[in-house]
Amino acid sequence: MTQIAANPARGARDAISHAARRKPSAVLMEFGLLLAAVLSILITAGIVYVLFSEAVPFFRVVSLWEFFTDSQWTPLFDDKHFGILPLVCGTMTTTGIALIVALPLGTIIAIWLSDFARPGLRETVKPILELLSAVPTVVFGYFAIQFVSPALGRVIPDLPLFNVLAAGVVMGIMIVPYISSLSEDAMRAVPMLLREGSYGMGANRFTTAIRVVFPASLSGVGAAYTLAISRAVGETMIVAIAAGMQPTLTIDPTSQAQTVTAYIVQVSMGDLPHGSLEYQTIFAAGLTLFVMTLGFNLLSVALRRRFRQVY
Amino acid sequence: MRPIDHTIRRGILVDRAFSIIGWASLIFCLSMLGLLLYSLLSDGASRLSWDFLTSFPSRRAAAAGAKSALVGSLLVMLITACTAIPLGIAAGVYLEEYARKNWFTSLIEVNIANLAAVPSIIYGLMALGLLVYQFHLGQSILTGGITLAFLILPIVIVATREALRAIPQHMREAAFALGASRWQVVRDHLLPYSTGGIATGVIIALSRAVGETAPLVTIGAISYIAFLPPVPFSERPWLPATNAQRAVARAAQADPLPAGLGTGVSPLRAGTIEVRVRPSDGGGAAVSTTLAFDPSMSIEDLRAAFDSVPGLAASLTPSGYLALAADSGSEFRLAGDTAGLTRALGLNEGGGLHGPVEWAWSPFTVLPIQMFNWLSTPDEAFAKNAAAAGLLLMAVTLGMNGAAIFVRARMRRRIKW
Amino acid sequence: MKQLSPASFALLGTLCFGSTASAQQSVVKVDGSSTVAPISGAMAEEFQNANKGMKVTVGTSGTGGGFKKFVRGEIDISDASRPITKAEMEECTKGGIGYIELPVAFDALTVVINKQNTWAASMTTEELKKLWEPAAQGKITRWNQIRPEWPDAEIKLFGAGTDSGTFEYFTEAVVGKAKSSRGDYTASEDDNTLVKGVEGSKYALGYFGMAYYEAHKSKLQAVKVDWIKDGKSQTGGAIEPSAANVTGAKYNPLSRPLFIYVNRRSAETKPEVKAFVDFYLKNAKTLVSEVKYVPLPDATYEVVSSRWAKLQTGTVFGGSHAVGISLADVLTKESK
Repeated sequence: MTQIAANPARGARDAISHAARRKPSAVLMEFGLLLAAVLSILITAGIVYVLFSEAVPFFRVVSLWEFFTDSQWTPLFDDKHFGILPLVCGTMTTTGIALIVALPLGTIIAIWLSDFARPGLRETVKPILELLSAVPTVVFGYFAIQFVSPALGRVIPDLPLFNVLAAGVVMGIMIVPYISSLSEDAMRAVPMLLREGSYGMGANRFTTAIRVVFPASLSGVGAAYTLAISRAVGETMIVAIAAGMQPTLTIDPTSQAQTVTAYIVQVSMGDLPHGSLEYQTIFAAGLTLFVMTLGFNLLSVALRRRFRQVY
Repeated sequence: MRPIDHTIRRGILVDRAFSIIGWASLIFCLSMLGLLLYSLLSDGASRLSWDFLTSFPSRRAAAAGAKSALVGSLLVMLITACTAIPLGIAAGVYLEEYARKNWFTSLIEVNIANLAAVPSIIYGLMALGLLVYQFHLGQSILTGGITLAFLILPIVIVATREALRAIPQHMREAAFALGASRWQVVRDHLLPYSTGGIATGVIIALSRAVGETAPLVTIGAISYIAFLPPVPFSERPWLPATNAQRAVARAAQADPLPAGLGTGVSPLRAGTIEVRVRPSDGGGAAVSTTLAFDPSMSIEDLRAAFDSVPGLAASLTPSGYLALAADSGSEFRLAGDTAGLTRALGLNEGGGLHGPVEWAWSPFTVLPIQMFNWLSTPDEAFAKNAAAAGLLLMAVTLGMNGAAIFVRARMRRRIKW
Repeated sequence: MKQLSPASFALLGTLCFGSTASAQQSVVKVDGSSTVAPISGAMAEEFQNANKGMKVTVGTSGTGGGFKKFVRGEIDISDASRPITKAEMEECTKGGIGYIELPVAFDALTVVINKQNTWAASMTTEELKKLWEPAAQGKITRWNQIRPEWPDAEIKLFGAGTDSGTFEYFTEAVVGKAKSSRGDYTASEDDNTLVKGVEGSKYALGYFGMAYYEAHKSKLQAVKVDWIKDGKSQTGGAIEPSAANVTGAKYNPLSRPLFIYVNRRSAETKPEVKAFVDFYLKNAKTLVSEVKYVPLPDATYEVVSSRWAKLQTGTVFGGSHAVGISLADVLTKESK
């Protein structure tokens, strides 16, 4: 007390520096939090480790050349072929159909929400629309096989019950909210000034939305698109339930096809004889899928960053 | 003046047209949601009943229920929540409040952004290779829960970060100015204010996990389960019969027990074991008999000793395993084993209490997998069950999303900076 | 709420599964053929109803997949739609696994076509071979390539999953070599895919277990099969896949016995396994017909039960697939 009285300023400084000195518990806490953040890296490392450690023995038996050029995928047959192309082709076809459905719908809804709908309406509609992406994919699978496919069969004669079209369409509906929500966020982030400039020049809403807002938000919209593509490529249950299980090298939407994901499900449901070549095929397929989606994901991240930098 | 007038009118017309297209697109999407619900309801509503919720799956579609799947989903979610919530919040807090801007932080950020979009089935493959085969957690509730926790971790992290970012910087500055440490700021100010935002994210993340099928199919959760995991601290069932897990001697040889028996596990000592026998209807009191053993006894002596217990029959199987069986209408348990007999022979003691976390090692099924299972059964009657399971799933996920919207709206109204 | 810190969450997490109590739970584990699974599943259901607290899991990994787990000692009972192979027998010996072979029912493979198909009501095994052999891939794609008078329309093919005993059996019985098949058809472990696929397309043809056909008789049409071998009919004309023709050993080569293989060690050390198999054999006759397979004659069940009572290991088939085997053959083999 006397010391502080003698030199109050110094005493206070001591007290502050004591408080500011980091206690061991605080350091420990920060370390704990850091560990939690690093865990995400470990998960990625785990994914990469598992995929590679199982795929490498596979690629010792099957050459990369064969893997990417053989036009047949029959790893479970007597006459084995390990050409991933039919599976990739199935994935591309379903994704393509999904995008044909989702891109226009998602983009129109995004533009409409950001530049046409009243704010109150927008706040109501967005969460309801997002419910679409909250529906479990197995339920969408049910919808595709029990409702959409028979309905399409009434329009298209000789459409097999299991077909790429129904799976792709339902998948497209599922990813609409991914596109509309993210694109709308991007469009709304476009400064009002740009719109006002356009209105001031006498442009109507539509022209402003298409000619000004959309180009200005392009990288954000692009991020939404790539994320949606990545979703579609990785979607599993809808295609496993509704697209059939036949790996064929075709882009005919009325035929059956097997996607990379559906193949993994097929083998997982059957048997997983640990260590065998057929067990390793699902990891080789998984690695292909991981690389495909990784490309889209990183592109999406890059686009989003660019968009943030612009505004 | 006329051309401008014309242009303006055309512009308005185009705007109107697009407005209609926008409405139409929206209504189309929402009507799909409506059709989906309608097709589930028209197929499944008749199957939804109390019996459906409280029955095990069955080969008879009309008798099948979702009991094991419901309990499975609940327990898997418990593990997922216990893992993903603390880890996700901690990681979010670190990245938003502690991390310096450097390459490592941005690596973590890009990594999380990528993880959020990695297909769920890839998580399943990772869990299969790592949790099932490397860490030997088995195709258990624990494995399923951790797999889904990894899957939703990025969602929790992102939600936490966004909730923290929404708190104005001056809140932190005020607390620091008063001498609070960073951790105190986080604990006393930031977390309480961001609870709403974090809770919203957590609920949405968990609702996604509830509906996930693919990663759990990959780790091998698909099979017919007609029992529930053990309740913590519930009594293990007494045994109608138990057999030794280790061969003791050939039945033909009535030699003394081989010297090696039990070595490395637990040596057989001189001592006693208590056998309790009771009626299996649970009505009567247990009758207790204490048997004495010493290592010099022959296998036949061992068998005879157990056989002498009233209500218990002991025999040796052809390969020399000791088999104990209670008389019909009664059950037994082994206790008070000072001879180390149960461990040396690998006999199941029966009775006692289940451990607190034994359930986590139980095989399981979850609601979406049960639905997938029924959907894959050719009998059309099972499609109705699938629809009913789908309705349950929709109720859970839509309910959770509704709750999230509600929480978000409430927090928005309450907090004013 | 202030105290709800990450630290307390983390602690909660530890409490939830921090312990390593990997308790062994006494579960009877059955896995294998999806064809046998309905029988084992029905048994498991009734067994668990009759004995509260007993736990049985039934997986459908396919016969081959089931045996792979069986030889590693991961399961107690392997459901098999064919006898154990030589390679699997060796694996068992290597792994020190004794197996008790118990035939439990008969199954017939049924070749099915769409209801609207008016031309292919009966086919010969040679025609089936022409359609399904590996050389047919990409070449035999139209109905009129099999018989010129048949329609010039593309055949949509459906078949059993490649890890299934059904696939192995069909390929061996029809093509002549197990697992030797064309690959450009819809192969599914999930028979629903096949039923729905054939039902949905006029020009479809598929094959799967008789049980699935019986359950969907109203939607599908079964093909009568004429067994041609060495240029002449072995069956004296096309035979319909019916229960009577299966027990009467007439529907060849597409009928076969179904088995369960019990791990002998499990049988001796796990009372619940013994109780389950006892129950299985006692109720086989009623439950097998309930799930629409063909039960063995009473006398055969007696022979099988005595094998089980003696815990007799080994196979009576010598490690080869038994194409065209009849009930009588099994009987004589069993009584040896």
